Amino acid sequence: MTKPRIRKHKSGQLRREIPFYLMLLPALVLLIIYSYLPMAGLVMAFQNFRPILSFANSPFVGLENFRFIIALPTFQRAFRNTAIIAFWRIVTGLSVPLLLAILLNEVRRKWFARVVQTTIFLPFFLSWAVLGGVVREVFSLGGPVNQVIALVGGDPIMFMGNNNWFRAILVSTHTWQSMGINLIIFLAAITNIDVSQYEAADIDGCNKLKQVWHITLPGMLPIIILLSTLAIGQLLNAGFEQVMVLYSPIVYESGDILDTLVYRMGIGQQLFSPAAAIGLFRGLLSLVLVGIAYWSAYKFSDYRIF
Amino acid sequence: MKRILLLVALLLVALIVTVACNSNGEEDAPAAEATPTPAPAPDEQTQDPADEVEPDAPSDFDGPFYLAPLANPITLRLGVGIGDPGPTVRAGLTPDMGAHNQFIYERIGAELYYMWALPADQAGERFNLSLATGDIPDIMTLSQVQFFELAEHGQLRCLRDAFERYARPEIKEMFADLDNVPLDIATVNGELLAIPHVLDPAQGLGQLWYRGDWADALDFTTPTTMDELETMMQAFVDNEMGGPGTRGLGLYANPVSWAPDTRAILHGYGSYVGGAAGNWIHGDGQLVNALIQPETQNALNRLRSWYASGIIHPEFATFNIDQVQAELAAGRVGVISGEWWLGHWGGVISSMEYDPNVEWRVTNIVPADGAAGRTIRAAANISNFRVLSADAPEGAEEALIKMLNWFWEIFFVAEPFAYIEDDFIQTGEPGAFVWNWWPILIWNAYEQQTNFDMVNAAIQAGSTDGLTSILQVDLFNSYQMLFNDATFDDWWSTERAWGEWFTRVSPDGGWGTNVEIVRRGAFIESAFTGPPTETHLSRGSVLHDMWLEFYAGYVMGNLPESEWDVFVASWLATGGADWTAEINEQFNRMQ
Repeated sequence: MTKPRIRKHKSGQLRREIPFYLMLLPALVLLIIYSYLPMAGLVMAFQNFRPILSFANSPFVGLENFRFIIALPTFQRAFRNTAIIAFWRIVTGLSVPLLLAILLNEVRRKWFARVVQTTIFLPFFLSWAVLGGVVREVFSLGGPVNQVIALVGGDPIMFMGNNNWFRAILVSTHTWQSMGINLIIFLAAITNIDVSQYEAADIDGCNKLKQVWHITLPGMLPIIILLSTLAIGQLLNAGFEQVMVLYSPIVYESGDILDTLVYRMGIGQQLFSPAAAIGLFRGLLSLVLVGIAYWSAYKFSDYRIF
Repeated sequence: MKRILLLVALLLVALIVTVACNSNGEEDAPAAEATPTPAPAPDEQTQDPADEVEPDAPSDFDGPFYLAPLANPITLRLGVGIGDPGPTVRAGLTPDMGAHNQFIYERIGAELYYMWALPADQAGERFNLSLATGDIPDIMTLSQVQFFELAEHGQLRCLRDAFERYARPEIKEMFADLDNVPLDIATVNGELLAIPHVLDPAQGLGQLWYRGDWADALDFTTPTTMDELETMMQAFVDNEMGGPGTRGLGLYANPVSWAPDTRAILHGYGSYVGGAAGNWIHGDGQLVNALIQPETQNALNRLRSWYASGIIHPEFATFNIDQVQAELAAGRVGVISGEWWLGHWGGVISSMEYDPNVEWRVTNIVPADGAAGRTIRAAANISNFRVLSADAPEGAEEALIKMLNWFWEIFFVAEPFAYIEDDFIQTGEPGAFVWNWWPILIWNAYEQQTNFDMVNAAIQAGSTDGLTSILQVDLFNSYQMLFNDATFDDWWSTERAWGEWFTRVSPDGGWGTNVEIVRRGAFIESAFTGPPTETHLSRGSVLHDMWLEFYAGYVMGNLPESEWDVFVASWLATGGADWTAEINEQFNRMQ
């Protein structure tokens, strides 16, 4: 008697879910066409790909392209730069909005907090094609930053042409541009903390700093862990668009990343196969990192996508 | 359930149709509607009675054989990158709507079918996709690398017979004047696989442009040595001729681009790096790359000293071309290096619009060692290759050659405006004629020299009689406007008129200086022009990156002078040595 009932239940559930699957179908088909089918092109990483010969007839060269790129000094440097820049983008991209969220939460005039929050969020909507010119101007030798340095008696710094500074410019301007989104997530997390805990802390004589340390931060810990672990998947994403508009040969040493190297080789010199090898190498490493990220997110904050 | 399946099927069909429509624009391409009508003869004044009539041509065609329509109409497929059509053309007008399609259909008997028409910066990627899928257009314009790639794999049609049979005499004469070197370069295994688009080799000669108004104000005459140039530029800076932040020499991150570059300084030291002709020179019994020769280090040392003394902008190495243009436009740059046309380049024109007192002058290469400054001239200055796919329809060779013939007819032979006014609408309405949308065009390599000679003669005579192109009349009118107070409706601005006239016509201007350089023989010939080698293809970008990086660091003084030897050794080890060996092997084979 039990078995038919279970089958009936599953069948009914499936019938109810069919419209949802149908709604999902176009997105799924588009995903397959535009994201999965093009992966067949990765075969060129193992070929001496000549467009005229197409994938079918270009000769296979095994791992030759990977040997070629790994031997390139520019590849090793770009790999190192990518990892360093991406790491610091993640660290500051999480810590700065976290700090701002805690500070904004303590602001008693809510209109002021909202104005600050909106102002911080605005650059998120601007592309690097626009922001690039602004950043170049702000950090130029005659720009406002150097004028401030001169006011306090310092020597001017060529931020955009100095390998000691260029990564810092990339990281800090990226943080400035993108921190709005994480700020909103952190503020949302703070609003979920039970207000009675702060009231109890007040009665017990806790000052603001101790309240932050013992209530706010522990209350936000799950979302901090979640964002941090998900960010691991971005460890090889150093921001192609931003670097492309800001770098120049004088800062290749500190600013050339895998994506810009692929661009120069693939688009500039039509070295499709080595460029595809770099792309595949980066993609595989990213896949491992994303896997670790999701496993960690599940392990430490019970976050799962399936 | 059936409805659900039907819905799924409909969705899939809709998606497939969407994707197919997005993948190419074939559905939008014009379809053949009728057989072309017999073409009328060209204007009387373009006919040469001595011309033979081609036997294949329709019997009722009485013009010169090289303009006769095809005996059997054909359809040709092409993909185009859309260049800037100019301000008079209505936005949204695309090549497949241009009047040239109808013209070519009626006069040549070739219907054009556009596989794609994309902005120029996307056309290269679309073409590569086309190559990868094997669905390549019938007529194409290829870069040197693409040309040799397709030639190597037998994808191109031999044009020898069609060229010899149908090409108009002027085109053949132009190549003959160039010793047929461009045709030899386009000949692979004995087959002529392209009609190269050539420029006058003199187009790439290096020049030095400077602010004449500043020089006059400080009592400087035209510099004749590198030391004099340095003194003048330093004075520009010290006297803040353009206000605070004035720089003597305008440069940006790329030292060997088209403009503004370093070639006037490098050539002054005998270092022939970059440009159309640069890189390979004779040395020690074989060809050597100019980049790694001691002369280059000498030139870089000079630039390094200028950087230290403030002649060069402290942030030049971080500049892109827009930033150096902005410096120029703001009137803060005293000297730039490049080619003959710099006088009508955006930054220079803008500097004159910004301040009407600005005056640019031009001179040839100034030597560093007291000898005559010499620049370099290419043996063949090929910008790209006009080709036919091996799978193009029968008769396509003739159609291609006749498209070249007709372009020449319209722009270099006919009375100015003859065809433009008679056959095309130039007002920007749909169907307008846009010259750079002609599907396969050829430029008169010596057009610059012809314009220079003819317009100067017309100015002397005070009449446009005898001028044979629209541009020549425009240049004549510019002169009249600048020096005889003539006025014209809807004309160029004064600055633009000056730029066009000074660069193309003035004996003291851009082309005039080239004429003088050639007359004095103040140039060397490049030693090698040929297909890219295997190492060039695989290591070219790495070697180029190395050079750009070293150049910036060295000139800015971030690297000690001893780093030059390290750079040379590294350049050779990273592929430069193999590249040099391959070039010498090719060179010896071609001798």
